[in-house]
Amino acid sequence: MTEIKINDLNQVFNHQNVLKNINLEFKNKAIYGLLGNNGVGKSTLMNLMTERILPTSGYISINGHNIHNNDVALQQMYLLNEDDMYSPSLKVRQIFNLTNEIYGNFNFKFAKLLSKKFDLNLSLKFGKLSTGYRTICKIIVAFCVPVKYVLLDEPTLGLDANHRNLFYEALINTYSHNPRTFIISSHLINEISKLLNYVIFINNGKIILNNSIEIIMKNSFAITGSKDDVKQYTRNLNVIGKRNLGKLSTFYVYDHINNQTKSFNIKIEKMNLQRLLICLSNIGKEG
Amino acid sequence: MDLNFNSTQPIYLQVANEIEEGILNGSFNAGTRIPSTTEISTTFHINPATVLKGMNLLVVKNLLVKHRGRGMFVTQNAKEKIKKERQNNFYQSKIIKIIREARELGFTEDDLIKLIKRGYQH
Repeated sequence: MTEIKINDLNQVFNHQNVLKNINLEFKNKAIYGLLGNNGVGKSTLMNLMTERILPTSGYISINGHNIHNNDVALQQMYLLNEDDMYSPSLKVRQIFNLTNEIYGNFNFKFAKLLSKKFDLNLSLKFGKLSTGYRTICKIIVAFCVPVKYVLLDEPTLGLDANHRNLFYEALINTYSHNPRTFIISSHLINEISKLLNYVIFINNGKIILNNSIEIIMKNSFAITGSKDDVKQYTRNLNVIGKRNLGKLSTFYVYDHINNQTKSFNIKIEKMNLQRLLICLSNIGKEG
Repeated sequence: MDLNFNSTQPIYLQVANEIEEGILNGSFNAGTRIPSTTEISTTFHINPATVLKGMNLLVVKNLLVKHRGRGMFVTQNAKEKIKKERQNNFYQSKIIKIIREARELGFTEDDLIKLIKRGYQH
């Protein structure tokens, strides 16, 4: 099985350790969410995975083969990010043709269908498109190139609610017809969490969380009640965040819980992914 | 079918519940095909594996049956089975909660029975 493997990866920019000793594996045919606050190293990681930049140390392999100077391996990946690689004078149609020349087997049929759905005029020049439509053009290319790994760095940048809706639909559509690996970074966690198989959460250049969404959600709880009760109930649990309203407390817990609440007057609810990630990124910041 | 993901249940269970709901209220009758995994995942932006897990739960419970290449179909006595299961769970899932809340509000047993009777008269 072809897999992407990241081995002891470090990246230093201007004496700053942007990525610290990263080890990761990406399985085939799964949708990954690469999540984290601004500036934690998500884009750097994606650039490294497609060798747009070179690592300070460590290496990345596909199916056991180092990607460094390896065109065969790199040909299996496509990265969408905020860089515009296309000349502004190219028409959308020409961009599709060009991609076909580079990668081969471009899915023109699906590209046409998506362009229609998004209302993208194929005869317009790339430089004349609005920010949102540039993103749409790049999304369509990303969904129609015949690669095994599609990396989408902030694919919803500049998209309105309706276009984001179309994007999620198109993603499921193309993934259902041709299951392949998608690695997606996004700040719209509530919108994207239902689509994911796996979550990788980066904070300060380190992997904080790396698991299937199912297991993560199984261990994420919000426990509400009077402060004393909540404190007592969570005394042996991994508390990652707290919210107090007078004496009414909610403690956020990332741990295994068996629903033994009989002797406590508390409410145990699930915590959503967004809350979990906010808690995890603030650990250690408060006293 | 509408899925509300603010709920505290895992999504695959919500998918299963919603399909059960549809069978119960007559949207999906015995012998008819339910929407495909792709249709459901595209409509609600859910990972297809999650949808499939919810559906497989219903296959295990014998409420749906897979016809290779044609999709998932509602079994003959699915509706009865769901009703039965929900009747069995009614005390655990509903009554206990109502009593707990009634106690917090200071209602006695008699008060609660009176309220239930009032509900039945409407």
